[in-house]
Amino acid sequence: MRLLNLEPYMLRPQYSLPAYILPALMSVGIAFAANANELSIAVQKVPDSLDPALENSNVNQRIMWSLFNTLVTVDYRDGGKMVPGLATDWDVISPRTVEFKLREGVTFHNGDSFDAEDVAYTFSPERLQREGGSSGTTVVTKPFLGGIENVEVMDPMTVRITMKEPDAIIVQRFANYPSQILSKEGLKEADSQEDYSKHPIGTGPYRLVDYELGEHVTLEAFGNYWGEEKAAAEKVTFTVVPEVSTRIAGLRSGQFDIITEVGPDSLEQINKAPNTQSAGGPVENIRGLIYDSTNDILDDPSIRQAMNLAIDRQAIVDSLYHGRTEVPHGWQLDIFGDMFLADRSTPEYDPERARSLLDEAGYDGEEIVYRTQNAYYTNEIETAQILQSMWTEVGLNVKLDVKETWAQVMEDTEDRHIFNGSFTAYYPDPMGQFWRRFGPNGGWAQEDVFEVEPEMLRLGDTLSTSPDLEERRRVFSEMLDIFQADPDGAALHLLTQFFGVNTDRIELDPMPTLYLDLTTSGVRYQDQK
Amino acid sequence: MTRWIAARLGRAGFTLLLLISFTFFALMISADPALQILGPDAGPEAIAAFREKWNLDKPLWYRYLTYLNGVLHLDLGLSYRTGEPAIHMVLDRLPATLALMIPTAIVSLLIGVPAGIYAAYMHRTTADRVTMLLSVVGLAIPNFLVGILLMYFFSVRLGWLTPSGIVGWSSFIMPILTMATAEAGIFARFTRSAMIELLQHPMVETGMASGFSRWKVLFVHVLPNAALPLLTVAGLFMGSLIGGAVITENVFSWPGTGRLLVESVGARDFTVVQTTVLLIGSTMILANLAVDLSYLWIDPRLRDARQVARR
Repeated sequence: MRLLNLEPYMLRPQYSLPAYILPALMSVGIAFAANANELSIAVQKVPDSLDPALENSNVNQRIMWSLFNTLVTVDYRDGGKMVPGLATDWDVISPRTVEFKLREGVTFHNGDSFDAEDVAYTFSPERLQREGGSSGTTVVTKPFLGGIENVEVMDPMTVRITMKEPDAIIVQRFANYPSQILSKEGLKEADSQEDYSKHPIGTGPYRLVDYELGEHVTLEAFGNYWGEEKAAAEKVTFTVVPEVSTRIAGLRSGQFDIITEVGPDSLEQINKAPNTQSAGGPVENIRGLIYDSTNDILDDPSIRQAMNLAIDRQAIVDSLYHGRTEVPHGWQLDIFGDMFLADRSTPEYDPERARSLLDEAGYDGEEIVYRTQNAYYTNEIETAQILQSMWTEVGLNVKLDVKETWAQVMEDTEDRHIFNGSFTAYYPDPMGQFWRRFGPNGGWAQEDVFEVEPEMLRLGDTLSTSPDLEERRRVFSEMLDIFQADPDGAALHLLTQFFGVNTDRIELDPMPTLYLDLTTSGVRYQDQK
Repeated sequence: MTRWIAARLGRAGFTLLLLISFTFFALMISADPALQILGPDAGPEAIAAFREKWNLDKPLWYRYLTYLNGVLHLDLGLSYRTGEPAIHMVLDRLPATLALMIPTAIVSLLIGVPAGIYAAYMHRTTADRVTMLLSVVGLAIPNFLVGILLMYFFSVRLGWLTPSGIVGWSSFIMPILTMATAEAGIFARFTRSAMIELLQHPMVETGMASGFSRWKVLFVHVLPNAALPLLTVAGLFMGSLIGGAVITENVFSWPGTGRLLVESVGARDFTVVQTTVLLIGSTMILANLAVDLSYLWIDPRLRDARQVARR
């Protein structure tokens, strides 16, 4: 029998009643964030853990860019080009092996200097395969870094990483989430791995000062930052304000300099006020649909093809997003750089052909069920209703089935036909987006939503292992052609990220990604221009 | 009398058990937290690992009994999100909520009770009708709307008050006003109707005939008698001290238990939701128990009646 453990019932001093009331009484009342070099940001949530290996979420990625660096950096302001980060040079020795030359003179926030041991620790099983948080790090990191076979320290400033299989995106893996480098020394200073996750130590332009779950995260400019673009503010506070109307009121009254998670319907209100403007736009995530082809109705590819042809994507972008997002050129983004197939057009809208395809397929008004939630995605139900009416236009009989949870959406019954999804490009490459979700290892193929055809599998194999750029481009193009004729889903538009900015104080130039750039390239103070 | 008290205690205990069971089953049936916490991107392996870690792969009855056993040992489980004891997270947030609710109770009583007495005293005059109209308006407008209207006016238009969080004493003004408009309305209506009923009592006429002033009759004879129904309402309010500010806390981004509850429901952090609901429920049950018991002390008739019945 367990004994009573009363420890959790003891109130921690920082939360006692006087701790709230005394400072409140002592302050003079209005304390708007008008301090010249501070940046006050209202967010809907702060992460449950700041360790990239423990939490993969937009709220965590927003802070990561300030705290950490990767070996290679993606230059989002220059078409996703890969530029030196904590590594000054890299060399793909074989399709399975890459060697990084590390940057000299980089200091961590705790004063420790950066070297190969830190890289080895960051990618060690000790860190990547452990308990902690809600699910442990294995669950979060395996899809990204599970393929690492070993990390060799060649000399203090050289690291060689070998993968279990040939890996076409071996360099991208170390340029993107969750490959942010943490200090090995920092772990020794913490009580445990779990404790270290609460205040991880990186090399980024800002260092962590204070973190209170559900409340705030406070950062401070890091004086010894190695990068060219330094921290724009002396101090940054991310404060949780769950209600969007409260965030807007805080922005307009001058309490906040930046507010996040602004819906497309609030943009006009923010733009109309004299001291505020909206910023932001599409990010590296495609909002799409998934078709379950394991049932009698949708197993016919021409019906799925007709469904895709019936969608007027631009109309959705114009009506629900006021034109502030884009329709992608199929399952790819321009940040794919060399892998971006610029000559491929956006998905075709041709209701006439959709009608004739349905005729040829002998479709006779059988009910197709579209499972959607109300607001998991921005404008989710509105988009679903628009799609339903577009499909009705061409003669499809689609019924909306509104669900409350993902478990209900995914329930494997006969009437699971269409549902919503989003496709983050974790790597600026089809491997990080299209093939991650529609490939044989994606959750949907594993849950029998569709089957991946042998020809696709063969091409996918080349896409994931070939080091030859031209071959990969050709293979990817072929894969998109096959998909178009026998689609397992539909790409609708890019998901968006909008901010409200106090333009009396600052100018914000967000990148097309969930990372928020708070260095001098992303934030400019009006009085310092 | 002991038996009467024992019966009340037993009933409170049984209510608590029902509460624990309902919350447990309602939450467990509503959704699989694994998919909800890990998100639709998570692979089958991740989901299996999560379920195993949190015992979600075990049968429901097993989890229920384990939970019940934990509650008996005051162990309410660990948060899915942070791995910290859930009770820790809830208690951490409690002071901020109490710092809001206790002044709200005082303000509501200070406005509501005098307004009710005044309305009763001015029964069927314009003053009465205006007071009651105001109380209905206060009660009927939802808190989130009052909150946003106040914010728009005092923060955006006038720039006097900070719209969210605790940055100084002024941060307390809008949330307290928001909740007090509704609560004062309730107190005013209850006070008024209790008083009106009593004003028709023969003792009022007797008192007046004895040459006492109207005000003296009102305060010395009528008000103490009106205390009983008021106590019941106040008891209900005390019961809602912890959970009563859910909406207001969210609107004003107040770091209290109400916001933790919403946050945890959103995150499907079931243990924290269970713990918060349990704490709110227990306060409610305890407040009711206290009201029941205080009747004995306040109302000599009840006390005597029991004794008479026992004889």
